[in-house]
Amino acid sequence: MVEKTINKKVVENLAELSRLDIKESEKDKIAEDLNSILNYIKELEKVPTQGIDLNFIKKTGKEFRRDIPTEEKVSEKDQLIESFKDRKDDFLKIPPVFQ
Amino acid sequence: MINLHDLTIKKTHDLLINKEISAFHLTKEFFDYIEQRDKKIDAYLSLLKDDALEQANEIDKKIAAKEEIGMLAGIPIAIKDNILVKNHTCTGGSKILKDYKAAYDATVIKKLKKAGAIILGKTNLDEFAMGSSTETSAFKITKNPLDETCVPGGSSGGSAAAVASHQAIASLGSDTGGSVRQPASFCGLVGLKPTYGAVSRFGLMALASSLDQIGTFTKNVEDASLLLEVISGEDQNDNTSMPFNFKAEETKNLLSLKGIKIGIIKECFDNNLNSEIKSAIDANIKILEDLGAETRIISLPHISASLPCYYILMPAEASANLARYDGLRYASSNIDKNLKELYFAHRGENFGQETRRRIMLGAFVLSSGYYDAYYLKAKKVQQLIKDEFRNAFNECDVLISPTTPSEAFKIGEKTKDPVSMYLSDIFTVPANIAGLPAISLPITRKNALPFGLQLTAKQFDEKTLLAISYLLEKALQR
Repeated sequence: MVEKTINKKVVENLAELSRLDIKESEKDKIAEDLNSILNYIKELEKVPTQGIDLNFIKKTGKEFRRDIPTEEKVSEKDQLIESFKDRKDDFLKIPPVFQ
Repeated sequence: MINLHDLTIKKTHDLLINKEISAFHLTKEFFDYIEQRDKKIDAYLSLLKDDALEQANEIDKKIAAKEEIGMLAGIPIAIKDNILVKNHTCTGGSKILKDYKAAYDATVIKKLKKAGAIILGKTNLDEFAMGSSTETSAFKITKNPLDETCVPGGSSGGSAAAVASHQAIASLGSDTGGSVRQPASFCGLVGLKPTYGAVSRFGLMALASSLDQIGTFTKNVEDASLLLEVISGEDQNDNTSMPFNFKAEETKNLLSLKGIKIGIIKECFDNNLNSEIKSAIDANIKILEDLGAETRIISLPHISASLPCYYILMPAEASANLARYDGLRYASSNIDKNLKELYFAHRGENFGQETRRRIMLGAFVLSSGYYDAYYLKAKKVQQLIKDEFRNAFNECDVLISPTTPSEAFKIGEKTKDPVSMYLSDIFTVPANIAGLPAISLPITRKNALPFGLQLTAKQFDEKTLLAISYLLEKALQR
């Protein structure tokens, strides 16, 4: 496998990708935990996987259901919207992306 | 006074139709008991008292009117708090959803309500089902009713503890890597994880969508069959659910195990296995042989790769599934910031340690440059493991292994070291990786905590799995 150590910088990058605020004091411990997990996962390297083809699609014979609103679904939708923090009509209202 | 300790689904059903108890009285009795018992166990996160008593009243009216009622009518059950019950809070064990109220019923809940089951309350779990001890819950630590200094297992620890402490007759959990079978093993219960696709996942909070499956905790095998019959089947709201017509009655047709071939998974019985567990399972293998089964050693050479494979696939899917918790859609955030700052603050503050760890691990294995080495490799290993199981099932009907490598461990014992915690799922994860049905049956011991024996069957062969379990259980009771 490729590079296997997660340092503080990698932790910072992963936190950025994951949209997580993490405290400076937590970073070393997070790196240590992730490294011990990666070290365990590394066992997969030993498993031979040449010739295993994942590029096939299994036919289940299933189709997508038709997207038709039912009375029940409409009332559920309204209730889902109710749980929005803030809204304008049926839309989720969010803080500005750019300021 | 009813003895709640003795009640199974079947027994309660008989008491109800013979009018020896009323559903209302029984439900009330359960709530009275929960009120005192759960102070020690902490199995429940919330109770649905008013609705439950109302539902029970309806059942009593039906019985009084001599209407025929189903096996689950009037049966008090508990539900893991990552399965939605309309109009009730559903936290997923996370601070990030502490105020979230479900807008709809999960398909399994709809089916249970239709069958007349009484939902007592929602049970504690590891945050978003991420854990093996129920200690990562943001709200409380559930104790093992058999030894309150020990964990009940996880992630469905609340559901297991509720049944083991007689605070419910049966319960539902979810099993992504062993979260039903491992706590069943620790609490001395029957824990069933059905085939992937046998039970709709609609309304179950997604952890790893390709591995998650709703399962049952019961006091015996018959109850597991009865619950499965009600909750299983194809659902248009879950495209991965399959037409699966399971009939509980059919699992009682076998009179002996003549002609049944049972494979003993060689790799699960190596020298590292706890000797007491090994000898207890050997004794059970002997019983299965006495019942007429033919046993043989089966090798699944790469089964031990299941757990490392799982710790790539599961976090990869979890990191995507948990992206929806943004502080805006499910209420609760009060932060006056711009959008990006709000995401960071809300998620950073409200996700617990284990959840953040898995989200970051998922982001890592999926990130550019690492995808082939981790995710793609794991998908290939998964295929290899599936093929090995398929070959094994050409030679036998079910496979036998321990459910867990040990009995329940102490509270706090494994929280510092994530990998040691993960290893408690070593025998349960393969069934999820291969999408197979598996059951944990309790092996009880004198003066010691129980552990589980696991049987695994081919996809959608719950009938054979439960029929064998039923006979074994009967033989053990003799």
